[in-house]
Amino acid sequence: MAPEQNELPKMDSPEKRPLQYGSGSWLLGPLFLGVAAWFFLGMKSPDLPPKKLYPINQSAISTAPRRKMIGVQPPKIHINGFDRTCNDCHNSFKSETPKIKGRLQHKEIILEHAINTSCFSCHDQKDRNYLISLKGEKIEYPAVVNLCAQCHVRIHRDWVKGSHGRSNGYWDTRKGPMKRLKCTQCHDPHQPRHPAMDPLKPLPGPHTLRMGEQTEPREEESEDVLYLLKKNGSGGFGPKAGKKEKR
Amino acid sequence: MKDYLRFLRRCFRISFVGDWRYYLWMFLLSVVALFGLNAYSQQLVHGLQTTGMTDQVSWGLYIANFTYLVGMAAAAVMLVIPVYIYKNKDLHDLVIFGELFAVASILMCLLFVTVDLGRPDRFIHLFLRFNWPISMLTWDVLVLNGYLLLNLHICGYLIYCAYRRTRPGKWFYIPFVFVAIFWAISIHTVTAFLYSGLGSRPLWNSAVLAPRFLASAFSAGPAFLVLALQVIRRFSDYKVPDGALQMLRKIITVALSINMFLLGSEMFTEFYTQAEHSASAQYLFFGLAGKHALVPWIWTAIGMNSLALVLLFFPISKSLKWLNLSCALMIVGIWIEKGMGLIVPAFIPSPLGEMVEYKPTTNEILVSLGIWAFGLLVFTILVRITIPVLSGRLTIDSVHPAELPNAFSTKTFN
Amino acid sequence: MSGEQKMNRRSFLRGSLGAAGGMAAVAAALTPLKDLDLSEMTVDHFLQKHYKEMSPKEIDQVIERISKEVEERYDLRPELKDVKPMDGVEFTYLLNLGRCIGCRKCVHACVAENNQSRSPEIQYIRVLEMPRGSVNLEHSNHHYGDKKVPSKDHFYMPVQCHQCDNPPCVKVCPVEATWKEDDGIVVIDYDWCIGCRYCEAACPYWARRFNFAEPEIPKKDLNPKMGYLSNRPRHKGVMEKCHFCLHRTREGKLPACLEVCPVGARKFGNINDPNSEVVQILKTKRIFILKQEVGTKPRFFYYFDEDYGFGD
Repeated sequence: MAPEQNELPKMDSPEKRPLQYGSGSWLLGPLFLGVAAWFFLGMKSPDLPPKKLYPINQSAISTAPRRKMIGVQPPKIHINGFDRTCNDCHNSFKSETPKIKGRLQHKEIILEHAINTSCFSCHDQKDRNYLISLKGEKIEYPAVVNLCAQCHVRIHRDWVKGSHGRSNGYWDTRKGPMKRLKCTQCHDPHQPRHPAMDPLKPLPGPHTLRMGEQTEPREEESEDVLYLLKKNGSGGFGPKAGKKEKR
Repeated sequence: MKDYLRFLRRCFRISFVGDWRYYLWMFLLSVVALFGLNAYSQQLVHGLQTTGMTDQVSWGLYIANFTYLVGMAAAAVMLVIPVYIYKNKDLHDLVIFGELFAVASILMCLLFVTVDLGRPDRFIHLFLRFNWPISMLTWDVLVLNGYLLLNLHICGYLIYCAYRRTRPGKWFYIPFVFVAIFWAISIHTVTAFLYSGLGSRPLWNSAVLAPRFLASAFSAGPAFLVLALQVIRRFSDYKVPDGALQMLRKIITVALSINMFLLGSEMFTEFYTQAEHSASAQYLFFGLAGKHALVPWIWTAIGMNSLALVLLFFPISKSLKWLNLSCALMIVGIWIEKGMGLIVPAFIPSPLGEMVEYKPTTNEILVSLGIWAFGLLVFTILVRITIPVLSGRLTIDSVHPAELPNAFSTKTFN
Repeated sequence: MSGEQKMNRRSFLRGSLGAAGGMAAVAAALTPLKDLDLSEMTVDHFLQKHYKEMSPKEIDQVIERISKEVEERYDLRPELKDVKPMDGVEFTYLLNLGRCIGCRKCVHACVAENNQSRSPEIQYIRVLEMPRGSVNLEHSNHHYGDKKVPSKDHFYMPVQCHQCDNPPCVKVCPVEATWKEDDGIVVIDYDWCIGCRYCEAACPYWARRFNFAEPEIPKKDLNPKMGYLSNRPRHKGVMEKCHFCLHRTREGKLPACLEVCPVGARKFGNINDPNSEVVQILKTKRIFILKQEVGTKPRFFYYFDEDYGFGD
């Protein structure tokens, strides 16, 4: 290379002269072609996270009240293929007047025909299509809230204000109705516990991209503000801690 | 104008000329850059799922590199200040390399931000509705591009003057140099504010972040230049005085000490209070809830930086061998500390306390390497052009033999 | 002269060989782009203006175009509307922490309503299970599900977009692709977002989600009732998040997550209406604001009932 260059005549414009590539420049073209070939032949698709569809179970997210209830209608009994109300029979057969044991009559109810002792705390003995207040006033079934409100004053107040219980439909009542569920649409008055609120299997948790194996979170005692209680053996929360289960 | 176009043409031509080592280096860089390009086109097709990023860790390797490189770009100022303010002679002819590296770094930064975008095709929206001055990201866009232009102007003007064999007109560049000094500090401050302004990320939400960024930038950047200058010295006849390297050594020592001190302060605040907010720091340094992917990394970084600092404190580092070692240590150490060690842990645990770790994918690493290779390619070409011009071999009246094979050298013919 | 010509030729050959090789390599490196989805790369897309800059007529045109695109993709003509905020309405969301049982129905109802991607899965609501006696998010369990809920030792806290009054996500967005509407809802223009994910880093409630891949929804599951700023199908590379079901709520309805809540723990309404449920609750109940210290002034509150006595 070098001798050739020295022989070059002087020229005015450097651009007119050929470029003096260095040694090895011959190789560049073929090498790049090799790289190109590699891209065509040896190319793999990148490692994408596994594709898995997580469809939504539509039935699991229905907006129907959880307690599929008669709820706000007089109860019906299914006998011999006919729906009958209590009055159909009890207009002719009068049953005994049971003793009212006090106000908290949810406690010892066994839902079996004819062996209950406290039906008439709430149900009208004379006209069984009605409920009855503590003062002996008839309450229609759709107005069941007024019955419950006699004792559950504060909850009723919250329900009226809207902080307790479910609302569906429209928040803007100019556009459409806001449906409020009544007490018995969630709570079963015959049992003090709320079967509608019983523990249930939660819907599946998140599966976000590249989330990896998820472990249960660490339990560090010191982070729990109640850990002092626990340490001193006074129970804290838990199944044994409180007799009442609040939900 | 005609002259200028001719100058550009000659620059273009010369960048293809060199000896086999030059070709090998450029070929390797091009190949890595091409692999990056290939990986990026995969990313364009499949979306950002090709990266290891998730909704939990929504920024990763790209932004980590971006942060690091903003620092590298800002580091040019550590050569500018001694020369233009303290009239340091040794560094005088070397400033330009710092500025060229800043140009290459900013290019890399911009590329890293671009590849991090989910919709790069909508880049134009930045010009149509620019949320300035509210969003720190818009500030970053402005200062980075501004800094790029400033440096392009300063370098381009000085090189072109050297090419034309004229004295650079003071008013055409000195004011820009001084603006660039403040601008360099501002780019890294703004980048730090980008993170420290987020109340949702306790690890970042710290006033010491901007000073930390500057200190680490002013150590890693000059450290890179120490190595680059020695390469230049070795492969060309460009004069790189030892005094210049020693000057840089002093700068690095001070900057790295401050960096380590600030890191220590940060760690003290995080761990002495043991507040809930230190969970990210806890994860970074010691692991949390059985997850500790970053623990070996951060301690490696701290180990490397400490070792580099110890070496620098001893007179032993006056020998270039040891200086090079500590520079290499700190370039890597700070990359870990500031990139992966700062960006990623802020996302772990997530603001809702979920622990999802981050591991970059091959594709993501290839894109990053490609950008680095491209940046170094640009830097090499810029240096390749600058050296013959500044040493007076490629000038307006030079007809021969400027475009020569031996990488940067014309030794054979002078 | 012959030497020079030879030089010329050789030099030219080398140069062109190198250039050809280089170009071939670049072209080869770009081959994956042959699979690029170009359906969103039309002139209309490029020229589409920011939502706030479009005239009603232009919005109608865009809606028409998007409807067509959705129809092509899902074989279903959507009812896509651009629902504007209602005058004098500012929304508030309340959640009764004492009632939530952690059943995750809200999470799934939200996905069904808002056409989130099913693969990869995107959900706007995260339900945290936390030990009673502390509100420490870092000790929350996001992945409970082996056992029945509610567990006696835990309480449940669903978290979704808090529609902050001082939203950090809006502040940081470089292109104003997200903003707060007059009714307080923070919305995203899916056609404007550039996907930088700065907002995701800025959100203290981890409410924002990014489409890392092209979202996938089974055709039969697409909800055809769509809002422009809410649940119309998104594409890869953009952010999305909870928008209080604005296509429902701006027409007076309640959000999907609320409708499905079996225990009535969720409450929604207009804070400017003194008779609304939410105002009544805010006035009388004990309110808890998650991460109040970050100062984002959320529109989403948690509340507790007092102890009623009676065991209920």
